[in-house]
Amino acid sequence: MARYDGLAEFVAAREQALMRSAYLLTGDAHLAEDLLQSALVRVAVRWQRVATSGNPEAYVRKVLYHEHIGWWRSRGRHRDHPSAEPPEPEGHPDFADDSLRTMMLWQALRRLAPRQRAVIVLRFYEDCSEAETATLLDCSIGTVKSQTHRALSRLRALEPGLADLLADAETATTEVAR
Amino acid sequence: MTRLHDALNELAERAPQTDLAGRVVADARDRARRRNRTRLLAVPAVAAGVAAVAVAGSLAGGGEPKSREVTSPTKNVLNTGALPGPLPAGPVEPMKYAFLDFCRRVGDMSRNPPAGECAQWRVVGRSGRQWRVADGLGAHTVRTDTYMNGSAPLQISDDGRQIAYYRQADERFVVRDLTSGQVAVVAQRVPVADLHRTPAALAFSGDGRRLAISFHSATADRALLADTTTGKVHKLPGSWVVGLGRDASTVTLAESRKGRTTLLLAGPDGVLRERVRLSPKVHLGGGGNMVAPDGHTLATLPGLPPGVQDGPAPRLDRVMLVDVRTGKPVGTRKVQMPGNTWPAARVGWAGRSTVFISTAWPLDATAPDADHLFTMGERGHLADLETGRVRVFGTILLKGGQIETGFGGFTP
Repeated sequence: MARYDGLAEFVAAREQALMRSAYLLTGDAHLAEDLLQSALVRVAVRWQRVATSGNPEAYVRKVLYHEHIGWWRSRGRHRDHPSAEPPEPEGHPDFADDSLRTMMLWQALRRLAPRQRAVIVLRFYEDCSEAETATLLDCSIGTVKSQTHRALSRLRALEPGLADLLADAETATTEVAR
Repeated sequence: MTRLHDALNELAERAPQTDLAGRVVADARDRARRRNRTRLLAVPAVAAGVAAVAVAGSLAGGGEPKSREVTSPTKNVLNTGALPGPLPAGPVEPMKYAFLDFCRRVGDMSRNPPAGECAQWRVVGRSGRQWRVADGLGAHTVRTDTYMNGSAPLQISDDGRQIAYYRQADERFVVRDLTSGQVAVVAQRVPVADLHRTPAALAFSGDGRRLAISFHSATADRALLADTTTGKVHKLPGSWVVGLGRDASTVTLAESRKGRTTLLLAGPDGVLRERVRLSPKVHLGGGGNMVAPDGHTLATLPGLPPGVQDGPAPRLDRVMLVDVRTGKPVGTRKVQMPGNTWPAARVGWAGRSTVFISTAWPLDATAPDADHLFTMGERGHLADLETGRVRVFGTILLKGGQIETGFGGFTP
């Protein structure tokens, strides 16, 4: 097997799905691409071993989430930039209620701590179980539970208008906890 | 599935398309090469002492992971060798550069411009491959004594996946979707005589769904806003569009009279919503979609003081942000641009807080060669407004006496 055999095909097939996760994690298209490229390059340098493991995507996702958390640690706390917020609802009359709520979620999500954002994306976008999330983030199931609870509470505190949207997620989390 | 899942899914769907396969493999190979080189140097370092170890360390680059530079001939002159073939009708890779070299001719071309294949626009893909835009108008005859309107414009979209240009066959601007090869024809005809009369400029909205066609003259016609899928057009209330934001939900135009500049805010239907006096502190120069994805933050660069027509180029060390709703500056961000940069040609937004700035290659940095040709060009930079860091996106270098250049594809 040549060093990068199958890598380009794997990236071409899965990059868009991975990009969506990266986009949710970073909240910025450019950073998302940088994050994904960085994660993929880390995987690429040990591609032969990863490919023979049989599940390269799981490995890439693990690297992606760790890279994300590491990035924010090394760059310091992310500061929202006042000049370039996502489009505001005012002046955009085609914004329906759902879109407005989604935009509120987007803004609130960006204000979560990196690990909390990762937990939200893994648990509620990728629909990973608590155990799977714990494996991907290299932490205990208890940590996943507490981070999820805190992240949902923080989202609710940041944007009270999201209460409806978060209600069934909170219920699901509570039921699993029981 | 929860409602939160659906909302997250909706957000995730907005992630831009990527094309990372080539870059990832190239980057991995580059890392492997650097690592091997470091290993080779590390062995003598043991014997040679601390100094050699420092060299090896610096070559390792500290493991810095990200470089968005693609392998392209940015360090080489682009217009050497044979002419490239025409752009194929079907899908083709995203573009990064466009240029017109007027067939490398020197001297006044206003009455006798070059013609034929060498006078056509050339586009350069991310891989470095080039094509001619064979059905587009490049250099053309002008009847005035200025060379400034001796070319029809061509613009690459911010994501590099569309190009817009003027097609002389039917005297219309067209937008070509490079991912499919489909061409949308702008409904409004623009006679070529109008292009002779006044230079035109093109700008895509951030999402590539709208194209603004501006006319850079006080007496020019009103600018047009075209839908890049259907070609449907609305006339705008001014002639010079300075920004479309992400989706052209607000179009910002500028008009200058008696030394005062007014911003005109229009809807995508071309209806004027508001007129705003621009602060005299703001220098509004260059071109492109200068309004941020938020639709109201305008990025401007330092210019000559008001009333000063000529003088040394101002240092490009900061970006002034202006709220188009008030016309007033809302902040200044320092950016670490290279010292020898000349005034910018285009400004754009490559992300939420990343500004694309292109600067002219300093003409006095090169002497004409034996054929009296200068090495000229333009360099694109990506400036992070949060950190001030600037990285080079790419460089267009050309041999010639007169050139037109353009960048695109600087967003993911």
